[in-house]
Amino acid sequence: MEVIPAKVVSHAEWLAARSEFLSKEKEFSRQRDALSRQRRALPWEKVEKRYEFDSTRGKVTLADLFDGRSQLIVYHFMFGPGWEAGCPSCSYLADHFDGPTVHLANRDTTLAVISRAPLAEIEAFKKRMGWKFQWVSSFGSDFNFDYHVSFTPEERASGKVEYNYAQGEFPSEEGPGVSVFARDAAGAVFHTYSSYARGLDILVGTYNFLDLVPKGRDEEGLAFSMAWVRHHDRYAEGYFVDPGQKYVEPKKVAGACCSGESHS
Amino acid sequence: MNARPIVSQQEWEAARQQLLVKEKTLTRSRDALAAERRRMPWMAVEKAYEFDGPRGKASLLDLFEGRRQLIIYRAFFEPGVFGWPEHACRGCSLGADQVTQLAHLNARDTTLAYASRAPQKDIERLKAQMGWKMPWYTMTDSFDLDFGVDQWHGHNAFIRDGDKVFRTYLISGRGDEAMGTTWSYLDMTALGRQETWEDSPEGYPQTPPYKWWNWHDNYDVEASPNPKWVDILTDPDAAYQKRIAEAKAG
Repeated sequence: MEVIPAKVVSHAEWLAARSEFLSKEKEFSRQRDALSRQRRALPWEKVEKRYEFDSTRGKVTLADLFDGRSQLIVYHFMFGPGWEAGCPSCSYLADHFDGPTVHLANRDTTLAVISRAPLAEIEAFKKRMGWKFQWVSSFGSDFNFDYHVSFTPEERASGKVEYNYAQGEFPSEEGPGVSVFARDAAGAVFHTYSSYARGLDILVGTYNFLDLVPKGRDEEGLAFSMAWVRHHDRYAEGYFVDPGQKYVEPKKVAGACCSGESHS
Repeated sequence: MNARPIVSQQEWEAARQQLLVKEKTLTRSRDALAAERRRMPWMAVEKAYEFDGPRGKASLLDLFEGRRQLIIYRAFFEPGVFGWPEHACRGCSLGADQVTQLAHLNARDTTLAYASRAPQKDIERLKAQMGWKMPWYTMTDSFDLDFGVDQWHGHNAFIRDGDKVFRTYLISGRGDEAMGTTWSYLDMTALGRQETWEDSPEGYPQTPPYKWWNWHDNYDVEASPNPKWVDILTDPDAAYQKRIAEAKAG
């Protein structure tokens, strides 16, 4: 695609335009700070249910996932039971997880990833992608359904899936999201925040970089914005972007056993 | 820490819905800002710059690696910088930890590179030690001065039309924080970044920004920075002037 310069100017003119734009960016940074302040003032709800997850250390509870810290961020990774791979868009987000983990830990915050696929499927995919973050399975648990990131066939058939605080259709049995929990000294767990859809945008460092370059994210005309995204080990071979390609969840592996899951 | 009011699920969702409306507004303003950024004027780069790279001498054009767009982050790693020679500056290191799989950026026809004044042998050692993979060059001329990153970090963006290179953008200061996701994650948590500048509910833990930032391999070893360098972390301009004065006097 040809990129036409907006206007090519002298350094003095360039600097003048840049400085003027900077004042808008600074105003935006202040708006973001104000919104973060309001987020910290949101009320909390107590998590009354006892959720259990499968991990490489055996069964763990939501409280265990805090790993001794007082705050927990859970990324709801779209990886359904029997899928041949985790969702490519979630994988794109997850490529940004390992760097922050140690820094977050030193701000009293643990990052955990939860998917509904059985642990063995998660472990195999995690190995392929070379990730190190803590990733547990909510297979057989209500957790994903309660936090509106997995949907029953009935919900999807009714066209009334609850996602991002609204009801509507949804193109997959799994949805992306992030939920934040806090734990008090007595061990009680509170749900402080959940965000979905474009609320996750700020977690994608690659997008932040792309927002700096002239072409931007270059997603106009794509059937869905992340149609260009591949698993990071799948760009090399015959990479081609089909603008009309809608989101399709990864194929189920033939003969995958996922009928054993039940949730009340 | 004082917990926030504990409410029922219904009240929780009502409060969350209200903030969501504001969050969506901010997302839209961010989109509008990005749209405006794509319409900024460009400036032709006329001077020939030379860098040292892992494969020897490289021009600014070479740094594109054949792609259409180039982002260069000016990282502070050289004599006189906090951490030298074992580490690059803590803030630059925190940023580097958050540069991820470059395959995604490359798939968007964009190369990300780092540039410092340290020699290549030190850069290679640092990359291996910290597990960083991005291309990282040594500046040999007035590149940092000419592109406004001689005293302070920043991201410069370039585009090329054949062999012709244009500078399209520079972002620095808090603008650089938008590149990393650690800050965005912390903004989502109940406590926020836990930094003193934040207007948080009474009693929330807070420490000064910059000071808690640490090398990812050093949090357990040395939690607070060496006092010798604290002025650079808190007031870089004053620290820079002070060091110039000291160099003159000494």
